[in-house]
Amino acid sequence: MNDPLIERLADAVRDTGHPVTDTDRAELAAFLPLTREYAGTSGIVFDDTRALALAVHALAFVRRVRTAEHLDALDDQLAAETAPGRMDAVRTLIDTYCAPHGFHAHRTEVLLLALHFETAAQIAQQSTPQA
Amino acid sequence: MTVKIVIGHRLGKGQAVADGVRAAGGEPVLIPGPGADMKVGDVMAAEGAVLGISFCGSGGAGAVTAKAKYGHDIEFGMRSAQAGVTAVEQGRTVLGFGFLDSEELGFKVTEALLKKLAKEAS
Repeated sequence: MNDPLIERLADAVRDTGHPVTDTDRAELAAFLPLTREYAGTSGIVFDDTRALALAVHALAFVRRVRTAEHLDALDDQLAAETAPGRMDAVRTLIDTYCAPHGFHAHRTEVLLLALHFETAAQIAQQSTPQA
Repeated sequence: MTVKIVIGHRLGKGQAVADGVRAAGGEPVLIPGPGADMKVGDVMAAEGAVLGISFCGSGGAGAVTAKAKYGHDIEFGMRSAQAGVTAVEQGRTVLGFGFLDSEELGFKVTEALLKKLAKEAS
């Protein structure tokens, strides 16, 4: 069965120079469930906008894993903006995906994905009525 | 004619790009604060801007969001000023880059846009 989020992503980037391929679909189908599992256990809800942003990030990530590409390092102080334990949990998530590919993701990948979760968590918190 | 170009950077940067836009004759609208890349489409609509440039780790979130919300013609995942120039020449209205806060990028993209607009007007 097709993943509706992958289909939304494919539709959004169809007319670009980097449309979603069958290989992308297969890899996203392996990676996105890991992100959903973590979001579920952490109580993080992605709205439609944040889900699409996560999906396009995931697309770029699985492509980088495929080509063994590493991003430049980011200011590590950004990690301090994530919830306690988030970086470790996202490291586990990323390693789970990368291990069968024989790829070790640098800390930048962990930080960027952790920031997606952090933003979604903060938006959800802001939109929740306070008691 | 004022040509507004909206710039949004995930980490709240983008000043160098804005300087490049201004140097080339455009009017930069730099969205302040972290997460600004996700607001590019909204600010373009509010400002009547002709082009948006978003920056994030993978170079896609802001552009794809602008496409989903406003139907912009986008390119994403770019890593060089030249890729941005090509995208402008192809008629893209929102450009998604990885982290690349350089004056050269702002200048070259604006130069290409002004050239394209002048050609269309003649």
